[in-house]
Amino acid sequence: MKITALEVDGFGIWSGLRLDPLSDGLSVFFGPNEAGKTTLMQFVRSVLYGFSAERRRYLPPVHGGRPGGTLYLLSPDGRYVVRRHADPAGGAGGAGGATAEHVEVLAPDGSSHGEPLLEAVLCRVGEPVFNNVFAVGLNEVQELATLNDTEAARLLYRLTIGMDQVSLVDVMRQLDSSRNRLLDRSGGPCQVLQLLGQRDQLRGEIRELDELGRRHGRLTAEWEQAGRESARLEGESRELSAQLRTVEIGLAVRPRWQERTLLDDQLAALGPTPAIPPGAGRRLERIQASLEKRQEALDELELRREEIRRERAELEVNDALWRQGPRIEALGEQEAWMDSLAGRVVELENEMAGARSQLERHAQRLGIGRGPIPSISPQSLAALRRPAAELRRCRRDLDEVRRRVESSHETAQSLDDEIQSALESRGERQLTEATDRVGALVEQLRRRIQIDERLDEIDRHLAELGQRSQGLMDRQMLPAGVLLGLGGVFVAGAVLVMLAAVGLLASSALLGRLGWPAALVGLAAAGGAVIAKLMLERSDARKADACQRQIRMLQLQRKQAKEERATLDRQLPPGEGSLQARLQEAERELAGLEDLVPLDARRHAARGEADSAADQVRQAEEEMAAAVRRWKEAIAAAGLPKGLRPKQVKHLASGRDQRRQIELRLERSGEDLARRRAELEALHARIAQVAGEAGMTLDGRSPVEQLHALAEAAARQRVRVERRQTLREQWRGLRRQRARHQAGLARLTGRRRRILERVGVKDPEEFRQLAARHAHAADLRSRQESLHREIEAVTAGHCPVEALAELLDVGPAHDLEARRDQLRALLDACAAQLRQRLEDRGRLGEQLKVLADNRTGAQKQLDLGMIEKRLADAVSRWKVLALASEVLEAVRKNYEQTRQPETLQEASGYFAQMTGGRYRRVWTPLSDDVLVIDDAQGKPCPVEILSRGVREQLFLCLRLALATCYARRGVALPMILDDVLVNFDGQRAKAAVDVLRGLAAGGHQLLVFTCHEHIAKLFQAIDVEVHDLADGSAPPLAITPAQKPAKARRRRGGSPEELPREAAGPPEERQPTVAPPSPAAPPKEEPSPPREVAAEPMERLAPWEEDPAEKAMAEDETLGVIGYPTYGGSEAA
Amino acid sequence: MSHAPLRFVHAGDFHLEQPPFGIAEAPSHLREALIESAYRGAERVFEVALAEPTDLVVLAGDLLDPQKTGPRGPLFLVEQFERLHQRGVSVYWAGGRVDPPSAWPTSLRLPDNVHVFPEGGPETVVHLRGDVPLARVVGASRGGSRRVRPIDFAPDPAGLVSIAVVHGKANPERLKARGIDYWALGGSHRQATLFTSPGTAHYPGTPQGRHPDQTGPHGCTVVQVDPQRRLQTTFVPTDVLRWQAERLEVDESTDRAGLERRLHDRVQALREAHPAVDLMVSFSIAGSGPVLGPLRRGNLAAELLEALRREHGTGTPAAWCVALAVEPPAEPPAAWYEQETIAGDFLRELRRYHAEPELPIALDAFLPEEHRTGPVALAARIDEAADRQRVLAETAMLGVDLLSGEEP
Repeated sequence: MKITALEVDGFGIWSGLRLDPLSDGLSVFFGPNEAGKTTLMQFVRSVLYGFSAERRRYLPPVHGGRPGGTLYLLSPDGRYVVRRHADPAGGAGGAGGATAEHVEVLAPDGSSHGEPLLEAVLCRVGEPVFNNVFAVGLNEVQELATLNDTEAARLLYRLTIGMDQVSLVDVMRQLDSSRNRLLDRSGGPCQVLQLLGQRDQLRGEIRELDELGRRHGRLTAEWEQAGRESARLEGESRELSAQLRTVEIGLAVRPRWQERTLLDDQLAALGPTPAIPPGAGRRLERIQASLEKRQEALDELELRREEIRRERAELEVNDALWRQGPRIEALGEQEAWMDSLAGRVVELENEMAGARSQLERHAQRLGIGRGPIPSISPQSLAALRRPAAELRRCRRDLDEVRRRVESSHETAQSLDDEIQSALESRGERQLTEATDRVGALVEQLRRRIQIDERLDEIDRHLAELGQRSQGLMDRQMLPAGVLLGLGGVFVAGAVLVMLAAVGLLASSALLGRLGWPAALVGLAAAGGAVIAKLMLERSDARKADACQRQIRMLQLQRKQAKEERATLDRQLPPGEGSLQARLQEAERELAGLEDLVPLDARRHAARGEADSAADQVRQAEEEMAAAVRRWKEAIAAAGLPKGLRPKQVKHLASGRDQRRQIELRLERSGEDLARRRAELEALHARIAQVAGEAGMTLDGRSPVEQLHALAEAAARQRVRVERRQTLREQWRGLRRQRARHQAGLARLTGRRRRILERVGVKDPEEFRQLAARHAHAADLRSRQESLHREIEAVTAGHCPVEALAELLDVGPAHDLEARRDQLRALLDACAAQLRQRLEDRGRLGEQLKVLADNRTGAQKQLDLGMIEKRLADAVSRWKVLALASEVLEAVRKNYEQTRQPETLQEASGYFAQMTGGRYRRVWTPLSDDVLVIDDAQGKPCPVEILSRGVREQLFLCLRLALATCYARRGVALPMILDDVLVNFDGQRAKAAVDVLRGLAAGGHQLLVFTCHEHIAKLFQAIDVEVHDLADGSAPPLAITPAQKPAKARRRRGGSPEELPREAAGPPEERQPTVAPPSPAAPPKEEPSPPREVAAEPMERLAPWEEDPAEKAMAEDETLGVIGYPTYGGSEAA
Repeated sequence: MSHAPLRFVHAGDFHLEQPPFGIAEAPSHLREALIESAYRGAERVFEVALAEPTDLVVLAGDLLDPQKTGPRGPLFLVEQFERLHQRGVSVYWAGGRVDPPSAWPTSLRLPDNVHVFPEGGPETVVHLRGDVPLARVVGASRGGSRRVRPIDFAPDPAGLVSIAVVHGKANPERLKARGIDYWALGGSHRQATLFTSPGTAHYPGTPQGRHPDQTGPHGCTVVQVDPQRRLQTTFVPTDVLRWQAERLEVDESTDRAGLERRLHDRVQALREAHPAVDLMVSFSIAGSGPVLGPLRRGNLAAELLEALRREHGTGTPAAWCVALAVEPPAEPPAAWYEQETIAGDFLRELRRYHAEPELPIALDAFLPEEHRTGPVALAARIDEAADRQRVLAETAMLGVDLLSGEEP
């Protein structure tokens, strides 16, 4: 792959730069410091591999332009175009932010692709390799210079052993380190062995914990034994405690025991008492109380019997009225019926009165007064129907025509008012006159305006015709050119004629042969010229005459128009404002009057309608009179009264049935009224009869009131009878109660007698004395019982009371205290033993509990699991590291045995050539990571003894050898060398130049940047074209920097405003625009700008200012390119 | 023929002697939960038996190694058996690999409701409800010289429901031939049903997972036998600590923030799906993309893990992220082998081991002299195919990382 051209749209200090075409061999670019050489190298890196963080500092371009550019590549597959631009909106300028960029790769077939194709074009060579091998910058040289000898030797070795971005040696060293940290091959401290130790320790501790189970078993056995002994001692203690308790109880109850003995003696002294049946005293008292209550109740009954007897005697009864009671009740039940009958009588009377008045109203509506109502037959009614209908139609027609007359009159009046109002507002009285007058005014004004416009147009035409006429007048004399031309033709013709004449006269051989034709041509030309002049003059004269005629005609028209205007001005009424305004005013007035014309027409139409409707009214009135006459004749023929109208006849016919119904209803109501009155009279007679039989005098009252009086008297009589009945019942009840009480008195007396007889006493008093003795004895026994209960309470739950008798009834009292003391001593001794055993058992229990709660085993197991997991992870990781080391070792051997010798052999050739044969071989021992140099005598020497210049030569040779090796493997990429010869002296530089030329001759493309003129001259000396980046004038390369570093421009003394910038576009299109070499122009002078190249101004930098992008670049290049990534961060941690 | 319905709980493999393992570190606030998890899981099994009327509990071995648990393990079991005894629930226990009857401490007496089957040969017990025979339980403990065989188990001739309790691997076909209604098996830490007809053979699994590989819920099985002798098994989770293995696929568009967000979302979803247990989550990241390099080489994995633990690992219940590892591809992409780089040479050299599975990977030369025999040498051997595959995959990615600094 080779770079055929490049375009920098914007990158660092370059904007709009185009290098086209680039040589496929060796290209040298010369430029002073900060001319942008390194920027170009970084540009190539950026287009091929993107805007990395380091290269982002070249963005945005210092002098504007779209960030990025294009590389034109030539590969064995064809031509490729690689465009890469950063998105300005994507933070391209930020050093720390991500850069959004767009890459486009155009394949030979024109198709567009992305990064994958670019990787293929680059033979999958990564950026680190490209930067490390193919694009060598000043920074590598400087880095090498700063290293000490050993480090430099190692660096050079790494270059040979690791063409990648990483050092194989470093990687293997890191692998060894990481692996040994896990498991040291030399047996030193490491993670795996440490974990193994921890695991073994934990396992030992866990094994020790196995003893816990056995210990728990032993302790359990001891705990159970202690429990058994405790139980035995508890039994003994309980026995002693019981005995001691018995003695103490005896001591405690001894006073009560003695008191109880005294009570026994008192009861014995009281002797036997007759037995009283249980409850006999209480029963006797209850019987005595019952006897007294019975006697009191008996006395009250007697008093009540006397009161009843007295009240009954006071109540009297009317037997006659009592007997009429049912009849009175029956009549009372008829009271509602009587009210109903009376109401119905009144209702019927009202109905009859209403019917009679209805008949009267009917007669009045017919207009026949109180006389008989005439009858009308259906035939008569049919005969009357036609004249009645005709009469109704005539009346309806007459009303309709009258309404139309009235409406037409109203419409005409309304329109007349509206028109008059509009005319009065304009100061007019007649609409037609006003319309004609205003219309004439509008026409005059329009004509007046048209005349003005016509005059203006005539004036304009006159002016144009005047000018045209003047032009034609001026052209009376033909233009000088025409005259000269015609004159020339005439002169030429004349000359030809004269020459022909002379030739004919001189008999010249040449003219003799052409004499007559020339004379003819000359004559024709002269004649033609004269004719043409005359025709042109005549044509102009005709045009001038026509123009004068038109002028005169227009002047006549203008005069006529002015006269007409004067006439119109006189006719027009005086007014203010312009004619146009007056015309608009008159048009508005005319439009208003024209709006009234339809109203006037409608007004005339309304008046016509009113007149026509008046005639129709008269006709309708005549028809109405005829219809009335025919109706009267029909009435008379039907035998009806003369004054009847059709509506009355209609009512007479329709009310015939209704009247009949009213008469029938009146008849039925009369009959019903008579019947109701008879029933009511019968009821009144019965009431009077009952009152008489009951012996009551009720004169002067209505039948209903009589009935009410009878009912009230019967009710009072019923109350008295019922009260007498109640008193009789009470009397009988009191008699039964007296009998019961008397029987109860007898029964109670018998029971009292039987109780007294059973106890053996005579009366209740004697009975009470005997009961008192019994109570005393019971009290003694109760006290005795209480003492017994107290003693039992003391001994409760311990021993029976009888057991105390052995202690209290036998022996002296002091024996009891001695016995108590003895038992206490024995109990204390037993309790001490028990306490000891319980303590032992509790202690054992605590130990058992501690053992039961012991979770040390689980904790240790958890820790052991974690240690084993870490151990497994470590071993697993170790396997990976070990296998990686194993594989890398194989890779390394392969490199050392195959590739490295190949590279070193290549490098040896370059090195010998570059050092003039002083050193002839570069090699490395397999077992060490150093390079060895053989001198001309074959004597090996380490790199450390080489001078800086020789080391840099060696460095360059190794790069060239690597590039050659890559090319041999099919990876041929252009080499970009940026100031790599800067530290070479003249001889070495020349040798290096020769090597580079040879390399280029071998098919490699090399782009060499240098800031040293002597190096540039070295290349020139071997016929290598050197391109000046400062002025861009060197052929055949077109360097067209529109904006270059100010420093370079200042050095040339040129004006920056004059620097050209070539228009953008693909190189193929711009190829013809490349300026050809100008041998006359000095190489360092300002080149003449190519055609069609626009010059754009650029900013001028102050003399002390550094270009910011160049400065950033310089800082960047100290960062180094070869990366040595550290082995896995987490592993290292 | 109608039978009385029967309900029993089938559990086993408590392994009270073994706390969780397979993790490299235990956070202090979860250490107690880790240590107690086996006991709490077992306790929940007994609570399942007590929660509803249960006739019996069958325990299929490996409840505990009394020697390793110390007295705490047996005492714990006795306490739980006493609780069942008070509720009239019988226990039938067939010893397994770590808990043969002979291993039970002589100083501790089991409650009367516990029947331990003898070692070697099976023993038959008719389980009664009151005086009514309900089921025939046949069981045998492991241990002794005689091996337990399926032929030793036979169904009840009177037609009672027959339950066989045994610990160990089983041949389903041989078990089917025996006509046992329910084989209560033990020895598998993951729940499994070998067959359901004729009869049922079932492993309830362990009540509590103890390793990152033992993912998902663990518990016991409740067996319901209806009057028609139809069996219905119901899994009841009892674990208090649940292990989860989550796998995330990343691609070229995944960045750090996106991956972190997805990790948090996944953990949050797990917490919502398992609200009652502590979670121990292991993440593996697979796929491709720019985020894998920093995950393998840098501190990104540790930072993400720390963020996840800080966010989710301290709550109640907690979701502790155990590990976050990058899953290497089984074999690198073919394009990587085509590079003219050392990394390409490395991969091509390594491919020989992929291509020739018989080619031994001898790493003894990297071992210290004194450890070229013994346990370390044994651990360093790569014999198993899975281990070999893993080592090769990880080595490939390590070589790529070291030699190119980034994925090619």
